Amino acid sequence: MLDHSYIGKKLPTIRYQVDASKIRELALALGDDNPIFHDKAAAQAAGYPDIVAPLTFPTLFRFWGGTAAGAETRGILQQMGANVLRILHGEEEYEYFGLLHPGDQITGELEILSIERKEGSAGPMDMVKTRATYRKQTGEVVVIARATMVVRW
Amino acid sequence: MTPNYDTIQVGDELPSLTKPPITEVQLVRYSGASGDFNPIHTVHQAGVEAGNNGVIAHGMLIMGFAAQMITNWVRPEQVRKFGVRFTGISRPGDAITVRGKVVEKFEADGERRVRCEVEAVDQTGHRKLKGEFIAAL
Repeated sequence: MLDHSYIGKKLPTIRYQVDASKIRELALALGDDNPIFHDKAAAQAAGYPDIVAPLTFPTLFRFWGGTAAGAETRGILQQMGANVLRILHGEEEYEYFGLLHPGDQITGELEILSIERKEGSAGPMDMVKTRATYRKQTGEVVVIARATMVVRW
Repeated sequence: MTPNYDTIQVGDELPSLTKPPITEVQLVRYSGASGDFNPIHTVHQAGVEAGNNGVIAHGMLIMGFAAQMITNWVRPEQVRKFGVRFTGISRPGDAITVRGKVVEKFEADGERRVRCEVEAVDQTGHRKLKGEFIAAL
């Protein structure tokens, strides 16, 4: 049974500074050779001030930014009583309001929205819905990440 | 060249993307890049203990492949929303193909937008994720 008191609870703030080398590293790991993710001159030729982060870059906010802050989803689920080896990533959705470039300083607020028990063929599962709202240093929301984590027992 | 709202039709297929087979080294690199150090992605024994018979790929790696297909088609600043449901696990050796098609043309917030379905499958046709994105054209 997960600790339902985490629903709506204030969690530590996620902090992450976007850096060109991490943008390139993610693009290299994905094997995405689009030059706007790698090369500043190519990005500028395409009309950007600097290289651009790929669409799934906000996952680094969650892991690199969240783990250091004690606000990484899986760590939170572990505190709530889940076995970390039994957690699956069910769904991920990003809503974008702007681009991410090197130098952006991100703060994020993670919320546990709901926990829904389902009976699966392999036993009960808890579907945990989360929302992380990420802002730039200017205060503007740049991306909202919604996820469903599946906790099996 | 970015797609044109006037000429694009519901049902049009997007240019597909087939990735080289996933390697164990790629999972190590992706762990370091993303910061997701769950050992089920890199340590064989942890994958066995988790009931997966070995290491499995990060779902977000496959979502990243789908994102690559999208930004091969439109510029990142055109994408308003991108969401997926993970439907199957991927392992080293799986060669992922990402496909998509236009399912709706509509106007919202003063923009002309398309909604597109995406899916990622392996070399045997087994589906890894299904989702959709919205782009302003």
